[in-house]
Amino acid sequence: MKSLLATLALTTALTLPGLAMARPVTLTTTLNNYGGDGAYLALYVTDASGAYVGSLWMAGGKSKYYEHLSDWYRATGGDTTQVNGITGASVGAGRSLEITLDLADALFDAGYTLHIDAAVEDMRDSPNEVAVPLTTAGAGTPVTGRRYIANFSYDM
Amino acid sequence: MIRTLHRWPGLLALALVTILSLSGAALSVFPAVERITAPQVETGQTVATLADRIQAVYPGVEQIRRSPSGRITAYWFDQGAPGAAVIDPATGAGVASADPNQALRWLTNFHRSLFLGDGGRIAMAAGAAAMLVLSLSGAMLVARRAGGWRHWFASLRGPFAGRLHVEIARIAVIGLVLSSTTALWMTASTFDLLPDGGVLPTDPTEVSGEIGFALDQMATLLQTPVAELRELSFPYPGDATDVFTLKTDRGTGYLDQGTGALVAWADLTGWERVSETIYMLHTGQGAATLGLVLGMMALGVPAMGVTGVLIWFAGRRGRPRIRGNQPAGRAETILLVGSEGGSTWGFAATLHASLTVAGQGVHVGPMSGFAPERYARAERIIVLAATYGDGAAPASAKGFLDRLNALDGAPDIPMAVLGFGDRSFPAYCAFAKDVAAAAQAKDWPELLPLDAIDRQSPQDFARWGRALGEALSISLELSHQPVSPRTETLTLVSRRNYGAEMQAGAAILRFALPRATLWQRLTGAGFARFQAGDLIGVLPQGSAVPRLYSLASGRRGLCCKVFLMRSLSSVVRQESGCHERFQRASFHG
Repeated sequence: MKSLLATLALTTALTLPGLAMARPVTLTTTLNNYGGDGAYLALYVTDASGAYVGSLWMAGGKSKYYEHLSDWYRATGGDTTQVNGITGASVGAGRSLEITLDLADALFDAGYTLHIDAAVEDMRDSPNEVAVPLTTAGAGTPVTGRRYIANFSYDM
Repeated sequence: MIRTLHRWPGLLALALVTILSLSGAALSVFPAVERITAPQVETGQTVATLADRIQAVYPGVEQIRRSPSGRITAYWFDQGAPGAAVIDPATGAGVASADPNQALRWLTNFHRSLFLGDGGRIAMAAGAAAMLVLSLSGAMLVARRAGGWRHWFASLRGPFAGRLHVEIARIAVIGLVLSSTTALWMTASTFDLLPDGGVLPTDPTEVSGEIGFALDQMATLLQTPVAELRELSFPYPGDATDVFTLKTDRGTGYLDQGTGALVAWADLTGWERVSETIYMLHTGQGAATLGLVLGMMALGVPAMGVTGVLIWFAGRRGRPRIRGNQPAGRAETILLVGSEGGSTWGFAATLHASLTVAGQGVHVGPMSGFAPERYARAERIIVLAATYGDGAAPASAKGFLDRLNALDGAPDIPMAVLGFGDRSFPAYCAFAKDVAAAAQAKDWPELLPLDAIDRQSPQDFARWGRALGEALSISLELSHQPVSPRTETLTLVSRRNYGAEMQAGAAILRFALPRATLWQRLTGAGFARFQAGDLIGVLPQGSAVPRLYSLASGRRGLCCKVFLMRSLSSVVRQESGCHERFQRASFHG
């Protein structure tokens, strides 16, 4: 169900040239034991010039906290319609978030970057916790986050 | 009505409000501790100085935050490893760990949602709503009991549980109303029901593209005292397009890292300000003393819960249930009861039952609930009034005379007053007489002349009932059996007679106190507590009405003085000093 919603959202949010082909991509985010409440995570994509393209997932349901995902918030102006239907629960310390989406082929090897902003109540905001270029070669290679994310990888 | 609104939310939400108040009281300590332990800022220090000092110690600083308590925390990266510390603003160096306090985190989540996510949040909000309903209905009950809002702090009488309940309530109610309203606001804010979201300034269209302007030269930072700082976020290292983000208690702005100029600014919205004030009032963050006071008041909730349940039990036992009580607006007969100990309610129940059998719609209520404008269909008002002490209004008649005297004219509904009392007291049925006199002064039509029932006499009551029946042209037989109070047997230890030669015989009887077990002492279940001047009721064989004797001594034994009168050997006489201190009102009530 979630991935269906995500697909719907993506086909509207990521209107890209040549969006004919898409493939299922699994995004796995594992948090380290930072000793705090559940983390809010925003997963979104920017293009080669750094401009916001669209959101892939929002972990965390209370929009009043979104301002702490500061890069995502500045890029979208806190617009919750960007994450309508692709919002889930916040992710606890030491837990993993695994989501499967249909991502357009055109997103890969074209200079697009996947970003994750993270924030935890009463702890530091960590915008740009992860920034990983979307390439077919980079699939399956785990990346470490700056503060909260133990590793992140995308698999095709 | 108000009592129902107080009783049922109280009993149903007892566990929830107890949990809320205990965890809230525990949480109230943290802001105060933080306020005391946080290194304080020297007056007049600006954000520029502070940020410069911190950057000198931690070159990789990313964010500086100031909590409402004044505690400053810095977050930085040092060779790829994240670091954080509580900062001493005098040096810019870290002095303590910035890790969240685990106890605080646990308590906060418990208090907020019982660890049950959104469902728990809603449950706790329901608890807060129950607390608000309880506070407001309770305040109205206190005002009614005390005889008006002006008598809010009037001294109290009656059983211990009830007194303690009101003593705590009339102080704690302010804090509980404040905490519960702010809690509901915060829940609404969490669920996005309020338009209090933050507004960011529009992104600057152009930045200088340079980096490295000295922090302690930036005009905006130089003008902003540390006391106003919320948060200062640094640009990404090496990203010339990024900006400094400054949040103060007035708004949010962006600073160019190449020139130090303020390139964008957005003020806090009115809603944000309100929400922040409410957050401060609820959590005590930024108002630690208020937080502690609210915490203390919240501690009254468990005590009020226990005493409230005790009052409810006692009320169920002590007052007869009135079946088929009609609403005041629909009843033809309004029965108003002024009772201290509850025995007059028994008479009211008997009268209610008989009148109902005779086909009348009858409403029974306390005299303190007197509201003639609500008696839309009433054809008569019957007042059953006991007396408290030297002619004062009994508990359930507080404020009746004030309200009657404040009326422009008496209601056009005939009234009958029946007093309950004891002829051996000097102020026999004095309150009923006052009521009748006040009614007469207002030219209130009289249904029956003032009558009195001596010492709960069923015969007196039946006689009055026949008179009432004649006035209503119905046959009314009132047979009232006073409920026998729970009794205990005492052992007579000694008796001393004196005064026989003066023709005023008296005896001093000394009784042994029943020995209370440890369990009875702990639960307060044993022999009632008493002090000199209280009355003891003695049930003569074959009578349901206790005779009252004054107690002359305290702890170790019971001692009472009995005047032996020539005609009636054991009728009680009041001693002057005892009358005012008379506490257990089974007699007059």
